[in-house]
Amino acid sequence: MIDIARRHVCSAGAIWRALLAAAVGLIALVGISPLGSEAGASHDICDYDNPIYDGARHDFDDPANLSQTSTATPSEGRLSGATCGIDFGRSFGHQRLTADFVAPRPTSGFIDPGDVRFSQADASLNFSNGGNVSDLSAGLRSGAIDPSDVPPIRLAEIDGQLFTLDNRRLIAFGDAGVPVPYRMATPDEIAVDAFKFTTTNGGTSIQLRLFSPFRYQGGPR
Amino acid sequence: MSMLRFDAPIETRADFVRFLREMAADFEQNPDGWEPDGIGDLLHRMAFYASQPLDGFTANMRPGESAEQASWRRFADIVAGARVYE
Repeated sequence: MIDIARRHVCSAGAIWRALLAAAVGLIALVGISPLGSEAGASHDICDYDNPIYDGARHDFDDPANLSQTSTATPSEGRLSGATCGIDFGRSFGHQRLTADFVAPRPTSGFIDPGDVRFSQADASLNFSNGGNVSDLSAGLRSGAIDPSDVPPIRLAEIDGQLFTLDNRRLIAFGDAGVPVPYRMATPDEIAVDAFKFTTTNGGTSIQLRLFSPFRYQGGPR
Repeated sequence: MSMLRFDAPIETRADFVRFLREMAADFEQNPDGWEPDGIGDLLHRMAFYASQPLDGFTANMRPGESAEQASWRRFADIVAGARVYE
């Protein structure tokens, strides 16, 4: 079953409220703690959920699937284009799949953010080149930012599911409820950015880090 | 094959040296493709990626392996992860 109720949709308003709370020193109230200092500790403020889900996209959340092992082969997977030949054994969330990686579809355009999964388990609020997810989301909603002016997110198709290599932009467009420009990633891009595939729930949600985790003190969990 | 790919064979110290050299070359040629802002940020990101994200990456991309097990490949995973992780 899909447990939507337990999810906390992190709207732009929520982001700003959290930022304001942090600004006035309410960090403790929103649960920020040094990453990995203790079991169960979290550096995250809120879970971001894609606002649009269908049942299929929640297969990873179905308790019936938690102990299920699914093995697919290239012939069983939905192939669209040539395979990359990458041994892409993986367990996105609870299912362990061993299908060959499916090459991206040679298309680009706009897509409903709800149709795309996150690759990372968490992502920074801030972009590396300045700006942040909240600003982008607000600009998209107000019309101040033209979606066409935003670099397209790169998508990878894995076993028929679309994953983004650009999580922050997907968060912003999903939060704004605006179709996101996309292009299919090249096999080399996917192989180099494969280090982003840290999701533990099949990419159905992502945690947004409001503060840099790179300043935390402490060792591994 | 680029040594920056997750599936690049990095099994020996010589492989790791090749990996680091390619990383350095990539930084010189493609600095905008790097998430870290300076060497200090890179080190912080390496520390971060070596914690929780490495667990998820290893489970997803290197099934059957352990993030706890040190190897030249694992060291490269941490550096490469720190380079791209958002």
